[in-house]
Amino acid sequence: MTTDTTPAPDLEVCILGTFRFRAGGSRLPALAGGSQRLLALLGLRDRVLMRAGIAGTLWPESTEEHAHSSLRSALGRLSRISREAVVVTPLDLCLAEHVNVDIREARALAHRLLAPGRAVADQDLDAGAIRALSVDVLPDWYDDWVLVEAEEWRQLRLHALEAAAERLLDVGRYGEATGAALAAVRVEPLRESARAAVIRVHLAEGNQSEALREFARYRTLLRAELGLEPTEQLHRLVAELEAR
Amino acid sequence: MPPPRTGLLIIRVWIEDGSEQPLRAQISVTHDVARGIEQTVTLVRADEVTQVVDDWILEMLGPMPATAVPAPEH
Repeated sequence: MTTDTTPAPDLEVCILGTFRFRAGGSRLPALAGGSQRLLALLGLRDRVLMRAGIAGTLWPESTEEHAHSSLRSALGRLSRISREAVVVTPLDLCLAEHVNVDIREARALAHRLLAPGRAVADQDLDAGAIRALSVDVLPDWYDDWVLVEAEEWRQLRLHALEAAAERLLDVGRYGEATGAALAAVRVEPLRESARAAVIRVHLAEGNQSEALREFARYRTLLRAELGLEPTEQLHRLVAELEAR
Repeated sequence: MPPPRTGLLIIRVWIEDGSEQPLRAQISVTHDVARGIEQTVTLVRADEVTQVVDDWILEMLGPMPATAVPAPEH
């Protein structure tokens, strides 16, 4: 929004977990609600958005005129430094190129982990990567435009965590593999593939009792919640141990 | 007349291949988004899912209930 030549600060829009807007690694004072929602939308969609579309998305129950007025107000209430983050034209808005968005990086990480046969860098499997994949998008926001994207991210990260566990297992990093698999279980405790990932890590490490315990935990939960038994495939993973 | 409020019901569905009942429908529900998600339950039968949705709509039409989703029967 400004055109002076001073170097832009290191700006970041964070929408994993709670909304934060940071400059140079420091959290800035809270923005007005409309301004916050505007930055969150631009970060989540991560592309150029038409003003009319933004107004209709953020204020869906207002008249067109009122929604446009609310958008102008949100832009007007941006703090001096947050104005640096937004490129504004008469027709559209987007985040400035130098603005980092945590979900952008996290999505790219997830896709790298899920690409079959592709080697990944060590940092794609470290604790920071697993942490990034363990957080929902704006979990307490219930706007339609958040819910759909949040659900898409939830599914992507769930698969990426299971893929990370497999990759870590392949290179014998058992402790981290367990962490990734358990993070997937926390996303959806009733999902069998996540439990299977935990059990496979325990088996690879030679922790047979841990593998059996995890199986028993899942079976107990499944019986209590759904009145069902684990599938044959999961039974087969531990069948030999159970027979002893 | 009850105060204006927005309810929300999210159904996440996935399929567990190989299970005797492969449907998994996780329902998260609130009668007022200002209170956050009030209850989450996972069901395996389509008729139970339909029943929860029906009940929730009826509850939205009435006064704010204390709880929403009945526990599934087994």
